[in-house]
Amino acid sequence: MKKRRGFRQPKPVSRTRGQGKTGQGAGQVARTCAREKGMSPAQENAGLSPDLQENVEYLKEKIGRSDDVVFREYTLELPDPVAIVVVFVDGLASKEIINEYILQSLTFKGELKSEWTRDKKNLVRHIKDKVLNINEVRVLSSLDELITPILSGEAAILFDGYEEALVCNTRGWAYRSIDEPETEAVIRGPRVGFTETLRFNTAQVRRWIRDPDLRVKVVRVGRRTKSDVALVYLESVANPQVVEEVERRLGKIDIDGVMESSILQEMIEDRKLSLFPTIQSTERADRVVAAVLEGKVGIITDNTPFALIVPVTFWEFYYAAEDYYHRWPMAFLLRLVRFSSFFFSLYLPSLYVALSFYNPELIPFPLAVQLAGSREGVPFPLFLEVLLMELAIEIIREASARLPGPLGQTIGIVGGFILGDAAVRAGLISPLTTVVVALTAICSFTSPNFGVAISIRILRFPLVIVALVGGLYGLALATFALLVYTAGIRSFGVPFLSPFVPLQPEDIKDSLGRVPFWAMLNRPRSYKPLDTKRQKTKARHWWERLLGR
Amino acid sequence: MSKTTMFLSSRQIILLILGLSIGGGNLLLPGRVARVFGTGGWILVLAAGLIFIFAAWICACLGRIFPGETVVEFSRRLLGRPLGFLTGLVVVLFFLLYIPVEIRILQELVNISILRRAPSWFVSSTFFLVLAYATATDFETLAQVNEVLIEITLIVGLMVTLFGWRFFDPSHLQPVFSVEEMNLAKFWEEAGMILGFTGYPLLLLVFPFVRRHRSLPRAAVFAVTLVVLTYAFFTITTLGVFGWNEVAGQAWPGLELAKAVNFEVVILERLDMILIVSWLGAIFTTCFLAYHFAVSGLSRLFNLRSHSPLVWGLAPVIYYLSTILTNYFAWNKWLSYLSVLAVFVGVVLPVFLLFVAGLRRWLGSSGDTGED
Repeated sequence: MKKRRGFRQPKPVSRTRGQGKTGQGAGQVARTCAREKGMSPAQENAGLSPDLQENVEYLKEKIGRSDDVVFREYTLELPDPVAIVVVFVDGLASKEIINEYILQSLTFKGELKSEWTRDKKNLVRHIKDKVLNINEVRVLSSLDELITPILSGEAAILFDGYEEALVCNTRGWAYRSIDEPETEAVIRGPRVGFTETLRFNTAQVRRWIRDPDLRVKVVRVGRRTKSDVALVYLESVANPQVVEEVERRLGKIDIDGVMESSILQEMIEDRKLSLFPTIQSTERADRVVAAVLEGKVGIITDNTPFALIVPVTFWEFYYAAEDYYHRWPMAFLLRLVRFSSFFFSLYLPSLYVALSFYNPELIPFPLAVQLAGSREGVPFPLFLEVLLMELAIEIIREASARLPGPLGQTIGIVGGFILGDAAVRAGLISPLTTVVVALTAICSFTSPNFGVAISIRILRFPLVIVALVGGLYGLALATFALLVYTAGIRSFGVPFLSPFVPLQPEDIKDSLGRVPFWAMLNRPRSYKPLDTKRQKTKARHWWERLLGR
Repeated sequence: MSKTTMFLSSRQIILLILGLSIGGGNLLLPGRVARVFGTGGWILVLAAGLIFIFAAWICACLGRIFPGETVVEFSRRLLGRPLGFLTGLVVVLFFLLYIPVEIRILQELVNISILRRAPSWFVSSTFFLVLAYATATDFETLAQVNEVLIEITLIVGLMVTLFGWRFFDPSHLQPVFSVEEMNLAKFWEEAGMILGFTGYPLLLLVFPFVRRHRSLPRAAVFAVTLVVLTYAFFTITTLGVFGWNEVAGQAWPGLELAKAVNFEVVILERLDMILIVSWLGAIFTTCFLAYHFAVSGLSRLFNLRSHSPLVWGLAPVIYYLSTILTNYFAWNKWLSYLSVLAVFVGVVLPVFLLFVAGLRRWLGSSGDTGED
């Protein structure tokens, strides 16, 4: 019954505070994910006693000392009046549901009386089955089992004289509506992103993939936050070893709270000290769906719109969702642009330093003259100039990120434009250095993933120093070391640099460029999916089209 | 989740052999053969190549007979404990002694091209540091890094060679046989060229990691053939562009060729830098493969568990050895002696081991023929 309830009210609602109609929608959708698991068996299982007062005392002792927990006492109008107490958390549980569907239902039910006279013992079951018109109601008989549902927004009904209690899904809190993620905007493509409510997010994935093999497995992480973490994958496609490994690593986490998926990300990475992120994070539902279709595992965490995707290769941090929505020539070009700007953002400043320090003979003569001319009168040595400028760019970037919207842009203009221009005019830095550093900064902004951009930024500084010390030779050595380092990284067993290291010729179709969809017959082999075929029919090759076969 | 055992595909084995074969010495090769054999140097390359192709085939056949064992183990079983131990030690020594001289070649290459006037200790020590760091990682990573670097090197090298054909003059190759008789003393001086062919002895140490032993001989023969053909092509081009007389006088004919074919592109004035940088990669692969096999052979010889402490343990020794070779004459002599070792490890030893294995099987009765 619970599974059938879907995402009923897809109408977009702007930020809601309080308990409006929309809050109720959230309550219906955001079901208890951990229901299947119940409470951890380690906790003592105090059974319900027939004495209502005793039960209430116990619950008040456990959770009642907070002012947001409400104990609503009520009496069922029966020949022998039965006292009941409804326990819920104000703000998490929808007052509307409690008023209309619990209290009202219990008030005016004539048949309750006849039932009560007929069978007193089964009153609770009867209320569950015939009286309450709420989508999810469970009968529990342990006091401790009640606590987590109450704290996640459900309402518990305790009855005087019965050793059973009802837990009703009344979840309904303020939530944010679905809108386009700002960090991963697209020109063409679906404009939906994840929100902070887990159930909305898993429902979004389901809306895309109507496959019975789609699995949504919920794990609970965090001793105190008890956050729900959902693994989303296609059972007949995803590599079972990866799924198992994800579950194992999530299970090993013993932390008091999970604020955001980044905490999980750091706890389950293959290399704990890795410079590069080895798990992808995204706010876009379509990216998770695409990843799941490729045989990867999506990890959606409650209370954050950022989902994680594992395994991932290095190159994928430079793929944008849009690459798959534009036609392939455009996508191919975009990829090439992005990867060349990755190269520039990593190497441009250090190459500039290395060439002008050690091998000016490599620079074409007119350019070399220009370079020497522009540096005339500049008081700093070149490497210091580059390092200072890089540092300045970082500071401007950070300052504009911290300031609220319009002010941030001002900082960008003042910092980048005015300061740069003034510094060049004052003869503090050479124009060419400004060009190099600014170009590097712009290149680094093309990375669709923030995490890997930071890694590249961090690497740029040591590379400038290496170039200063060892010139091109130093850069070559640093590149070898970097290559060995990154090639050794695994993301849930998948080599980080694949499909290039090790070579997977089939997967290169979708790497530095993207070929048309009809040419990508197989899923990426790097992830070792169970089902490698993406298209069953053999697509025609271009030469076959040419020959008209 | 990380795999405990890795398996090498045929492609990886081919690239491993290429990675170990193609190193610093190749840039010197045309000069060496020109000095020994004049205009017909490329024939010398082909002829020598044939021998090594055959030897590589024999090496790979040993792998079919002893799958799952390295030379350290099966030579012990074939020749008895002390002699087998000695054989293993010689193989390890070959790889170990290869590294210092490659470091020297690299240092000289760097000092004459991209980092002039840099102190030699700086170049060799920084390279060695990166080398030791690389070798300390696992073999799987090394094999993968080797793939990339050697592919880049091959492509760049072939491109340079192909561009060289713009200046190719067939008359430079005539007469085909210009040398009256082989001067053995001269050959001894230039014997280092043999090392360019002997990447395949690494097979002796990778048998346990090979997935399909059946295709091993084919892969080995293919790899060495590729090496030989590349060298021959390179030698013909260099001789054809410069003429043997000029090549014989050059220390680094490979570099000269790159400089000669150079054409100006918009961003870089000299394209030969690309060749040099990619060749640094080739030397890097040669070194870390040699280092890895030396260390893994040693750890097998002494039954050690992990090899990365051994890498750092051997580092001072290798670095010290590299400092001994202060100039061209010193390291050239080292190369000559090393090539004797290479011939022993690469040709004599496999033939001998195969012979002993065959003999044992023929005698049969002892039962311990290694076929298990």
